[in-house]
Amino acid sequence: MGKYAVSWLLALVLASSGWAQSTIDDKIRQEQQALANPALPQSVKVVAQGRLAKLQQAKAIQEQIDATQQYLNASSDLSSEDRTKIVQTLQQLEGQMNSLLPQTTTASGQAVGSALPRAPAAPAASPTPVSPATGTAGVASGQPGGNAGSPPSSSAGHVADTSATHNAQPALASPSSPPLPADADSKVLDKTSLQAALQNAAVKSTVSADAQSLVRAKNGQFSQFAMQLALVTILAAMYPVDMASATGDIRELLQRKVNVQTETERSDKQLTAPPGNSGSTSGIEKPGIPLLLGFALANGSVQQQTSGTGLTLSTSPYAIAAALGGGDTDANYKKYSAYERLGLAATFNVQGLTNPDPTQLSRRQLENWSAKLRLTPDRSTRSQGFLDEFMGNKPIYDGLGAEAVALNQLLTTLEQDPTVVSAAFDFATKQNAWFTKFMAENSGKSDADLQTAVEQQIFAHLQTDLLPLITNMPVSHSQAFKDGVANLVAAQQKRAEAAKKFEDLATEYSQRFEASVEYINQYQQGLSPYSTINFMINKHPSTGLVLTGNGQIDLYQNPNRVLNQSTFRDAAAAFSLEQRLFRSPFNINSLNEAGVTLTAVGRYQYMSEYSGVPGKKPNIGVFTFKADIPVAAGVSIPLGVSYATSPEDQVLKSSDFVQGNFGLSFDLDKLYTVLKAPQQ
Amino acid sequence: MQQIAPTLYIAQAGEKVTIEVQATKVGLFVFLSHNSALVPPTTTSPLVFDITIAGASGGFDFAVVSCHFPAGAPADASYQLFLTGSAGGGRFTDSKIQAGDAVWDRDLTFKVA
Repeated sequence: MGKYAVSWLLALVLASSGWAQSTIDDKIRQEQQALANPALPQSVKVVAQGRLAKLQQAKAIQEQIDATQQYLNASSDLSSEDRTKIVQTLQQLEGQMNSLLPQTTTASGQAVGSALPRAPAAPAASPTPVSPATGTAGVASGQPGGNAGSPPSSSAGHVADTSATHNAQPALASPSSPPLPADADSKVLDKTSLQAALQNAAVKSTVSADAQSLVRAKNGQFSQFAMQLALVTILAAMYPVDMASATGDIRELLQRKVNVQTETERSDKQLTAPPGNSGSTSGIEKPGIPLLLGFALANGSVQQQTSGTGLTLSTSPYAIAAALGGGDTDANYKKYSAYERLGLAATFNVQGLTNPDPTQLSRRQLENWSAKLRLTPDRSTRSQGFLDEFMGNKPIYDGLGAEAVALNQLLTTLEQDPTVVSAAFDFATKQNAWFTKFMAENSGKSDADLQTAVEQQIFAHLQTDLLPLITNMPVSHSQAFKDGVANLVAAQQKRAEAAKKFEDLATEYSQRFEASVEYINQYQQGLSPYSTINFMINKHPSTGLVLTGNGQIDLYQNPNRVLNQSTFRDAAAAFSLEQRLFRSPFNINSLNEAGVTLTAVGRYQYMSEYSGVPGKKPNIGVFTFKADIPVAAGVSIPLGVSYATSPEDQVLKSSDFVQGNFGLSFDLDKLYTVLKAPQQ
Repeated sequence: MQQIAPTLYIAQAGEKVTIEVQATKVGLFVFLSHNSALVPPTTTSPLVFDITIAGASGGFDFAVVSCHFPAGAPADASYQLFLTGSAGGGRFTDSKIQAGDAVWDRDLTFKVA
């Protein structure tokens, strides 16, 4: 028996046993109540006693089925043969159980469980395999049955389909229910299916996501999510299997996967200090202006970065203008786009200070300050250039918007049931009062505890505020509705794929040719102050390869003639070739794509003041070979070996030498991203 | 137009509703679907979508706003929604959708008066 066939049989058993479990108890209670009625004639009591005995036997068999199912679910390593045996046992048990259950007949003559909805018919199409995500079985689209991720007791969730039982009263309606319409084109939102819907993965994930967003916002209003939650609940009641695949978790999971993979893949951020600064292991400087505006604006428009014994504060005119002009909005970004070209930074020597306070830094600690001007267009996703490319990329644009269209389609289809929409609308409008009160009363809780509590409250209010409004309401059962659910699932996949393509486009855009010029004023101890003018280019000629080039001249501000100094200090040229080799073997999280990179850096410098000085070499060549090995989330070890024709300062000697360099590099962005990554 | 609560409105049949999106720390990657199709923005600076309320009195109309945040966007990057109806009522502040939120979509529901 093939794997799919086993899965299909399992699906049938799960589906048919699922409905029975929650209803056998009801039937037993019904018979017990009848027997407790003193007015019931003895002859009828005998019948009831017989039915009760059979139901109790059926219940015992149901417990065996449950135990077998649990064993099957927990034993993912079963061989195909063993799995087949177990499924056959389940089939036998199910057959025994069904033979004990009361039978009735539909208008078409098909035997079904009396007052109990029948298990789904075998799908005519190819069987549905066991869901790899949940380990539980699915059934054919649109058929009631097993609910992925739900406990067995709730997997009975389905809607009494009046199109299949024209003359039979839909089952399990609440005792106070009004008569249900026997409309062949409608379904009825019965109590059982709605209760089961609250266990549906789609509803659970939506509630969880809503709670997370509300807790983050602190002063958020639940009403903004309530309408969609009501829709998801209704759909989960109508199409439990299809909706279980449309979980919000899948959407967010894929979205985060994109984020984690993209962020950890990056090797284009200059995490160490510029060459020449304290603690630097960089052989060359990269030309991008670090526009980490999020932190910059949150900290008074200034960014702080510590590397080795150097602390760098950086800002840009844009950061200041945005802070003064209403924030880092898209409007300001466009308005002050020219200001984004300039970046300013100052590096201070903080050797010996464990937690240096940037507000206490003195002029004496200043190692350098710099201004960098970007010559090429903005390559960020916020640039007009990227927006134009994005808007013109129809597959990405339509893909990212696909879910909005699918949701809108479903809502529009629901318009043909104004009473249901009215009920959902009434539910949504009444949700803010309790939520505001609850948040005020629980303000002392941690975010994690608060989220759990909010989730519980939302479920409670779905029970008390929504379900009574919609229970036993007929809902149109059009093909458009069914197609809409399928479209939603497909649209979520499309959106996730488009999100990855979006990141690929952003990466490609950011890797286009970049050039900038930088002015640096150096104040290193023991050296005469001097200025550096540096021209930098950056290009990505092929996948994983980064070519960076620098050309610079240094000018003394106050040349010391005694030391053979003139205004012209030196000229230098440097190149860097960086190649990403492979994903680091130390990455524990499978989504962490941080890779091992090799970098070759060559630098030539002509020192004017060494010219003609005995024991000094004016021509200095340095070649550095560096490997950067990610060893943990956001942590990497750069290991370098350098060969130089002579030391740059040549204080003690001018002979050539080889030296090793190593350090520890931290990337908090990567660390945060990996820590927040979904569990595998 | 009248705001009952964020995302929930009472509007007139045929009323033109303007949905404005203010992006902070992120580019403009926002989509709006109405009548089961994506609505192209009327302007991109600021980002504005215009829709006309369909449906008979007593019925409902829906629009869905879907946001996207690039991987590099900070967690507090956000899209703030504002709605204005042509029949008056003022400019309403609606949802603020942040990159760190688990939900990046909002259903806008209009009950037709």
